Amino acid sequence: MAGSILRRLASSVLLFFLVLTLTFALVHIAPGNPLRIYQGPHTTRAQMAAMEHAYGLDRPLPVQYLAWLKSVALEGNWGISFSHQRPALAVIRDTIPNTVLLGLTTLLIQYGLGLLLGVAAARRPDGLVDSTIRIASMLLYSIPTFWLGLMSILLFHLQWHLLPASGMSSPGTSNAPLMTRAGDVALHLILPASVLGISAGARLARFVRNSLLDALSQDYVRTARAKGLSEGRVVWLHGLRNSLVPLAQLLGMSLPSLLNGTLVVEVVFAWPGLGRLLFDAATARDFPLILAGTAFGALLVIAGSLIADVLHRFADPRLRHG
Amino acid sequence: MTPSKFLHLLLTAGLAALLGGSLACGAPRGATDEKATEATGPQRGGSIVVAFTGDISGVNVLATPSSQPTTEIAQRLFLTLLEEQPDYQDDPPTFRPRLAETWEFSDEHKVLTFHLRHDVVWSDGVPLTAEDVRWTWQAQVSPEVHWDNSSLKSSVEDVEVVDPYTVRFRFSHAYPGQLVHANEGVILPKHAWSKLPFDQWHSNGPWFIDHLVVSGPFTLESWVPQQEVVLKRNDLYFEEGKPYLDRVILRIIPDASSQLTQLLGGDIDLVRQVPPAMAEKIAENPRTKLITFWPPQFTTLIWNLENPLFKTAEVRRAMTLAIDRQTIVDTIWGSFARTSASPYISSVWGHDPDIEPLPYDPEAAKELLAGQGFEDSDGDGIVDRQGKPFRFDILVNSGNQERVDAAIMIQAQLRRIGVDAQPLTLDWNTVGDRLDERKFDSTITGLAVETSLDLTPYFHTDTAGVRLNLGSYSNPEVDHLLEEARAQLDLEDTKPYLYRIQEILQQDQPHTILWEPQRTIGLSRRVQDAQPNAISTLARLEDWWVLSGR
Amino acid sequence: MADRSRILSMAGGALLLLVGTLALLPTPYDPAEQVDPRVGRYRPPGTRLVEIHPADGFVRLADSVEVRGDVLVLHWRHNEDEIPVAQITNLEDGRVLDHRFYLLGSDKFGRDVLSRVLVGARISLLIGLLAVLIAATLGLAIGSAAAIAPPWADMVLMRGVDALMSFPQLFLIIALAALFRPSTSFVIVLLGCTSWMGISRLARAEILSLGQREFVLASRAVGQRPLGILLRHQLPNALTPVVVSAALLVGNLILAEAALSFFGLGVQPPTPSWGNMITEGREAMTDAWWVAFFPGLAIALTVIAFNLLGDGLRDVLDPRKRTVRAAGADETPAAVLDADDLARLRRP
Repeated sequence: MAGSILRRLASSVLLFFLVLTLTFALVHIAPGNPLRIYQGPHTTRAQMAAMEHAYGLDRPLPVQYLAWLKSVALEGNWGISFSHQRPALAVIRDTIPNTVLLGLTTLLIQYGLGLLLGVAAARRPDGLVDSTIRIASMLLYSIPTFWLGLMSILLFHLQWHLLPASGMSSPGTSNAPLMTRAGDVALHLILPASVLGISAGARLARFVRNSLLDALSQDYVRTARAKGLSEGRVVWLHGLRNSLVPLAQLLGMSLPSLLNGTLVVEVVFAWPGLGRLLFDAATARDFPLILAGTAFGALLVIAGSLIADVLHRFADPRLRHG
Repeated sequence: MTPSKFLHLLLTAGLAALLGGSLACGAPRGATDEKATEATGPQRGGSIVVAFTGDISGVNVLATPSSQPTTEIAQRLFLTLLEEQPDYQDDPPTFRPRLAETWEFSDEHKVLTFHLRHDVVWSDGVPLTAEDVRWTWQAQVSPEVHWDNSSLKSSVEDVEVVDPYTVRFRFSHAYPGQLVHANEGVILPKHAWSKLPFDQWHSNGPWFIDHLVVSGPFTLESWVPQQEVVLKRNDLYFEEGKPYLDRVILRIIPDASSQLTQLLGGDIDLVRQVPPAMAEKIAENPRTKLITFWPPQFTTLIWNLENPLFKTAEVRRAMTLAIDRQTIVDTIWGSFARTSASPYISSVWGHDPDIEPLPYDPEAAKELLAGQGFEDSDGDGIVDRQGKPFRFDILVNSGNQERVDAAIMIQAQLRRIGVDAQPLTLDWNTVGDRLDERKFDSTITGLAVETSLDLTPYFHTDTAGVRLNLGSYSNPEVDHLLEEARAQLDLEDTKPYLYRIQEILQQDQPHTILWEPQRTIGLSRRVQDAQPNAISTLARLEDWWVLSGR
Repeated sequence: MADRSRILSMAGGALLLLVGTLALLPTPYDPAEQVDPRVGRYRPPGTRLVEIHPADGFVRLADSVEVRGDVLVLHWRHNEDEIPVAQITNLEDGRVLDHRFYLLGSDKFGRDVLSRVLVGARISLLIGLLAVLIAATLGLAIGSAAAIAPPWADMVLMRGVDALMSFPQLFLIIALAALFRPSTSFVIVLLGCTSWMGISRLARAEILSLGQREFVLASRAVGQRPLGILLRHQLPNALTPVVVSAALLVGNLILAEAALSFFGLGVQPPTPSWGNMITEGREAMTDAWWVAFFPGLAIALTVIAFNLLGDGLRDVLDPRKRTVRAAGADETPAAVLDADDLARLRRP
């Protein structure tokens, strides 16, 4: 097993390199200029050319690529972000906590809701509760997220004045005491995390229900039933425990989507996360930031699928010694 | 009652309740605010919250990407030599003393001497002197700093320190924009920032924050990227007792509609640009008011004259005649813009009152096109010439809804005279590329005219490398007039030239000018003495104050 | 036992049929036509306006009209306009003959929302279906190629798929939109080419697991060639889960188009898609809710329909699941997971 994981790691490194090279090529071939952000109405062509030269953007592409590769591979230097004027890696690093905060809260809501509804639905398959949950969850995940976001702002913020709907803190609280700030951030988290979490939780509910039913139909559950265990204990002890593995796998796989799937919500709720940062970087053609962001995303994809794989091997006894 | 009617009623009622609710709760507070204003004078203390769409990029305006928020902040942290007055509509630019108490020209108008105040100190106690002014100029024109406005200083040959409080600008020649150009840019702290060599300025944005000293009314208290910038009162500011506000918080809110909902909800106090659809609501709400003014800007449809379709003035006139500009303005802006025929807004001093927008006359347009050989010879509804249909793109930046809307309306209107115009919306960076490379047929863009009303960058054949004559318009007579106007030392004397240029532009129609927009700023009524203007939204922030109680 | 899931699937099919029929219905008005936008803009659902045809050909609208001497007075909002009666072609006995009825309201240019939702249905369904066709074809081809290829080639292909999945999709879209001209066909190809990876994994996993089945082993034992086995036995059987996940993917693709439009990168105006209608309606959410509401509703209904249908297809098509149902569970994760997730769960 260790060998196969090593093999996977090796191919992951290759994959990582491949993705970054492709991205590098694409960002440089696509129209647009990373120095455009420095261009004002009075900027002359000569000035732009001088700046391109100063940044080395006028060199042939292969030369730029090799220079970049050398700086990343040998010095771990991902370059200075054009728009933020500091190391791209530092810009990403500073944004990660915001993204992780929103992501974890979303996961909490998603799995809480998913497990609750899934178990409730699995008690009597095709019963009234099951069908209701099925229709309701299908409704929820069929609604476009940004639509759900806009509607929730309309209701919870505008009409009922219950929750803040923009940013991750109230104006001027950046210097407030820690506890005040934490409470304030928590309030700001509720709407965006709910919009993301409810939609994903509705999907998860179906999955939980199905894997639970799958587990309950296994031989050992029937044995447990035959032994006279109560139905509640059967469901909780055997059924849920056995469907935890696919759930954990799913968790591993949904790791990257926590970053990629949140852009719309970040825009609607003005959440200062990685999605918005990288969207701005893309329109500004901020090469170093795009590449550093891509590297981070690829890392998550690799890590996520590795986790899912390892769990899969643990779950399936046939593969455990493979 | 039919089901659909019932649904309609239900939805409308729900929405009315929603909006009514938010209106009602604002009413009493707004009323008390009004009364309190009359009773008291300016009060010290308190804070306001301003919404910005984008983040600032740093505190060193010379080396950071230029953006509106960055400039606004820089003008609060640092001082300019003079303060340009917002009376640009009535007369050529006028100035009030700021860092400089007096100034005078000498040596055939080629030397400009500023006498600085003696009581201005940086926030670390070091006096602000002529050395700072000279060093700032050196940074502004340094090729390593790449300041985007450095071309404005191209006629300044030297800046000399006469004594600590006297500084002398030496120009290569005399021209009307000398004072404007000498005054361009804020004065930066030499003693604090000269420690970092110019060639490292671009890669060390945070360094300038760590080494920040200011001379303006406010200083930076904190900056959380993508979230907020907090400005704190500078206690060493030279104007006695000012600023009144303790703090100014700038919130980064990318979405325009959430900015407005928060303004209506009382979370923020100022929105820099209220979309026309929401302007009435802001004006009517008892808690907020709408501040409007006409900035020297025009939104225009530029024809690329390198495209064979738009070579002749007749075709361009036909396009203008076939575009119903009044309906476009009414539909998109309501009363918050007006149609226009000149690059100069109709209320500015250089505007020729005899220039009227061409009428909307599709029949005349058709005749003009027929005269140029455009007929619908194959019966497909699109006019053609030598087998080539009249088809072109209108390039617009996808982020600007008003311009995208205009492109959609123009497409529908031109279709009526058999012209097939396709809106092409792309992200701003790609649009920039296409404009720089002149790879477009036509484009809708907004242009700002300098307060000296110099149109050289937009209409002169040789724009000396500045890239704003996008349509490659070239008319020797206009070139000559523009040069003549620039030779007049008194801007008042340029009027006849400006009038003649407008007449020719009206004939040539290198652009179809669509509208001049009104700036609409949404402001909370608790903010007093705020005077946003076209030069700066937060102009004279040191004079603003709020009623206590928040 | 009442088979609720089958009823629901049928409901899904019926819903889809309804959406499809609506998409084919003739629209009451030209969806791009901007008739007198000053008067016609942002009218709530159920508004009826008088439509006046003057001789100059430019149709005018009004809330109401009255003949005053030899002029017709047009009342609209708080304004009044006058047109000489002699110039009006559709006036009879002081009554204007034509009306304009906005069943679902009008947008900011006075265009009929109903007509736009109907045409938007065509565009959105077209995008969803064609893009899914591209994705399924690509996915099946690459997935099955990987499944029967030698291990190193399989490895290369699957790593390639991984690479594409970790590619910054948003940047890809912005860059491609800048390189090519954004248009409806561009959106279709773009969505098709960026969503096949999940299906390819699923197809590969299915074919590999089918490879262990008795009937395939038997074919191999009697000396049939791998490609023959693939085409005759494995592919037809692997098709089932692919079709199911493709049906579920359609919904996702329609949502994806909406999200693209949200950033101005989707279907270009004035062609209506549900996505760009919501985006256009967003700015007037509080004043003219109907502009964004009805396309949003249409998207939700259609996506639900495809999800129900995907469920139903699986029930009908997948023989193994029928045996599972006999054992008490009638659902598989396929119903709620993307093909992508599913493939990863099943990766051998």
